[in-house]
Amino acid sequence: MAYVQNTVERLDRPSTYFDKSKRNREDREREHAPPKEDPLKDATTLYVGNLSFYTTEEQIHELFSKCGEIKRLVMGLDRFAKTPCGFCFVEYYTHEDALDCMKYIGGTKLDERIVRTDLDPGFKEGRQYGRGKSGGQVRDEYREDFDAGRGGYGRSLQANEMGKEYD
Amino acid sequence: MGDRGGRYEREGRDRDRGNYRDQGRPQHFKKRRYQDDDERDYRQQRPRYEDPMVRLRKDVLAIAESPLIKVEDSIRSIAKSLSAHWDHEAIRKGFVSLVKFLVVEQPFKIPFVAAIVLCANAQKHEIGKLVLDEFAAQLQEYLDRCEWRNFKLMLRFMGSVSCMLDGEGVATLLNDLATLTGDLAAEGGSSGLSEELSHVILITIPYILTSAPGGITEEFLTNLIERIGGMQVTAPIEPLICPYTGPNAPYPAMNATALLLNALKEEVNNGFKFEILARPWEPFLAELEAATKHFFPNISMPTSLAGGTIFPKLYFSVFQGAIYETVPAPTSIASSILRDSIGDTIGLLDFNRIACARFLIDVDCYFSPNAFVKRATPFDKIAEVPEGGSTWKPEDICVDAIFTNIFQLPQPEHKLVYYHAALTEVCKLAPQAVAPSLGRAIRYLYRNLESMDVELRYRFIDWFAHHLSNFGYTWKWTEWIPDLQLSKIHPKRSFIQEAVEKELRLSFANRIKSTLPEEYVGLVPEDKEKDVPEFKFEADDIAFPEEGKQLLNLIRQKAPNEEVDTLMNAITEAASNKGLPDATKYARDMYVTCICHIGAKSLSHVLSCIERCKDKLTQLGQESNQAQRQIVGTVMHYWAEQPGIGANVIDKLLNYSILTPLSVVEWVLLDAGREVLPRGHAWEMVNTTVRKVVSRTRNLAAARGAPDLPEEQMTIMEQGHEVAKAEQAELFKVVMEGLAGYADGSVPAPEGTGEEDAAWLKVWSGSWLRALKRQSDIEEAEEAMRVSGAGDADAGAGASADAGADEGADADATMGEGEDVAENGSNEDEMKEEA
Repeated sequence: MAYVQNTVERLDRPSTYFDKSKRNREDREREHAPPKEDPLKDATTLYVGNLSFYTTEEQIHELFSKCGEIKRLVMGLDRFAKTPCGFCFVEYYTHEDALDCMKYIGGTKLDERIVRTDLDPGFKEGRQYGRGKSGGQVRDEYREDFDAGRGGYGRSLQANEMGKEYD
Repeated sequence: MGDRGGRYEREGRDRDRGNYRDQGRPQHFKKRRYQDDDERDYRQQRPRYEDPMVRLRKDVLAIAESPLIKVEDSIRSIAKSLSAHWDHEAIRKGFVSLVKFLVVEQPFKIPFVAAIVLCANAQKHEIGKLVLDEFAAQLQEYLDRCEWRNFKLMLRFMGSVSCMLDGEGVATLLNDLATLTGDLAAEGGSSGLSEELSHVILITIPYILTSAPGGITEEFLTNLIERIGGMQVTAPIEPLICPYTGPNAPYPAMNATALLLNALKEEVNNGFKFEILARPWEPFLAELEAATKHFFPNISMPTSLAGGTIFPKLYFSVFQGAIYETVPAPTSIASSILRDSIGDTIGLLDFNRIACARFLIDVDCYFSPNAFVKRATPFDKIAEVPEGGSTWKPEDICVDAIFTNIFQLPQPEHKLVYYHAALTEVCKLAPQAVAPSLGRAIRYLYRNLESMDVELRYRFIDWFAHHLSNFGYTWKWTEWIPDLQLSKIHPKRSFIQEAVEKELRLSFANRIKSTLPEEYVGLVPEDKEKDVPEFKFEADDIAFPEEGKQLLNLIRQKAPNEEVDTLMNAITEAASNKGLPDATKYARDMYVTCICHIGAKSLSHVLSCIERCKDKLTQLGQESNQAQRQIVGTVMHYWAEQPGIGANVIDKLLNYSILTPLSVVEWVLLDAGREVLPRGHAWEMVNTTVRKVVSRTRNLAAARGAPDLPEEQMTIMEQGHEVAKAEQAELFKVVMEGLAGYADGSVPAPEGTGEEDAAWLKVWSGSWLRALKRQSDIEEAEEAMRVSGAGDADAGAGASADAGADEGADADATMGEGEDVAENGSNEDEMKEEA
């Protein structure tokens, strides 16, 4: 039994995000392939989301180093503007530190925003950029609420508003 | 926001029965797009069938959780459905494994789970038999693996089902354990295991005596208490791990096991009442007495006792000596029982802090119905409690238990941030009830800062700032305004300064300023608002300003090394021509200042800059130990207004082996001097550095003991360990000598220091000395154990030693592994280039 069944849920499990993004493709490619080794088994990296665009590396370091020494910190950047766009990767030296971070820091506040953490198979060049149409994260593209820490309304909403008078 | 039967508001939906999967999932983990689904009830359209195991699991997990449901009814219905479905293998296996987990994850529920099993056994004796067999095997396993906490909880369960055990039940086991404890104590008890075992045995007694009557007699237990009482030894480390020292300590050092022992002795005279514990079996007494009893299998003592040192636990409380007794007096048995049980709950549930907080808030559900005052009773309303009623506030008891962990020396079981997070969750679950308790706790700690251990003072600051950062930085700062007049090195004034400093590191100057009263403005000078500090060679009143700017440009433009060297040599030459003392220091200071300035934008900037210039930096450091100390000084001078960042940069330089640990510590203690001792960053620098050294030594010692190591490797490890050990000894020696000179006054305070300040500086030095002596003594004891125990002892780490060792292990991963960092750093370098 890989996972023992605890009497309350564990907070140090990866979210469904990772599973989902991979599953479809893999299913199609090889249906009867032997069960692959869990790529997050020894993960030392975390994806950290819902940051304010204004949160600095130092602030992130201050909070996240409470779970262990940080090996590397990569800020997520807007693909075009090369400015922070509200996420980052935090890499620890050990898997245990990364799990502890899931347990003790995920869901708590940094810069007065609740941050989201997720285990990550590891940073690769290129992943530091937002994948939204306008360069930021996808979630900031179509957001309908106003979020001062993340550039106000969603960008495509803003774009529409701006062009309105010419309609 | 009505009061639903004495529970807090906010707990509505996820507490509804059957929703246990959601328990502890923070709201934000749910995607918004799924929220609709929660509201619409699909279940109505499905056939109304529920797997009996699913139902059973839900019911067992929810036992005693709701005061709206009579626990007696739940026990009866679970027992009934259990005996009805016992023929199904899935039910048998599922139930036993569930209960096994429940006992070692939710210790509050043990008496209730025991009642379920007793009741079910009365209906179908096979149930009792299977549970007993499986549990005995598990108990043996925990014992063999020296997992003392799980063993203790399993044993507690066994004691709680005494009524269905043949003969004297667990009496033999307790006897054997006592013998083992006695043997260990006779050896001196330096590993702390005899104390731990004493605690395990003693804390089981109240549970046996409050469970349904079994074959174990009061007389036997009274003798057992006597016997354990005769074996107590005091660990030599104990005086160094008490939280408070000096004549103004709020209470004397009290050992948790000694408190428990004395409270039990008291109970012997009082007739073993244990009013705090619930007795859920009482309504079923007649049935239970008629039930079949089972043979309790023999449990054998472990053949080897693995595990490192277990440190004594000392009493800590933030509510001592208040006008109302909101937490049980330390000497009472209720105090020992609650502290043990709540402490275990916190220790075990670190994997879900939200569920943990839930249990803490619900603590009154799991003990005697009238053990506490009603939840959220305000402190000043306690006066209205009628004569003879309990004045114990459940919120205070929980807050106290979490603080006990944060303030545990040498290290708590888990990382400190876990306890921070647990307190945050408790506050989020029941803000109105917990916030005032927390306020009183903070004031208590603040009042006693003068007597507090220096490491704990730092933990207090760290927690305080982190906690406020989760709650909009709101605190009644106004009440400390008078203390701003105190000397900067007074522990209270230092606390205020350093707490603000920590807040700034988590946030930014303008935000923090907006949360502070006007009187505090001086603590956040404008220089702290600057993103990038001034480059000191921009000013004219400094030696070689032009050269400074030149050098900055050269490094920035990545000029060839020769050009940089030429310029630096010219500066040194010019300095020595001018007859300036220590001519090389100008160029060195200049170079390091340039690195800081180029990397000032962010941590990755400075990292990539260090990475790029590491050869030159290494060369500068290798000139002498003095040179390294100067490098530390330059970095800290550059970041004088944000010393936290400076400390981070120093830490990176240490990882690249550009600096030696010794140089960092020497700079703090000898160059910056004793005036820096009240500063948080100074403690951070020394503490981090010492821990890195210590953990490297430990890891080398452990690696040396690895089995199947080829002889050559073994020799290398052996040598490495010897070198590390010598370095560590040297480091501790320098630290102790430096601090001792300050503490005993043999090195006079700098001129112009007032009498009061001089006295405080002595206190600070003494406090630092004690904290570092503690670390050094622990390491010496560990090493001695390694030598004597050869192998066994250092392989694993005991419950309490664990945290420290782990923390060390992480730190060690980084020492002298600049290469690794470098590789990754270059990625960033490119990234920044693009930026």
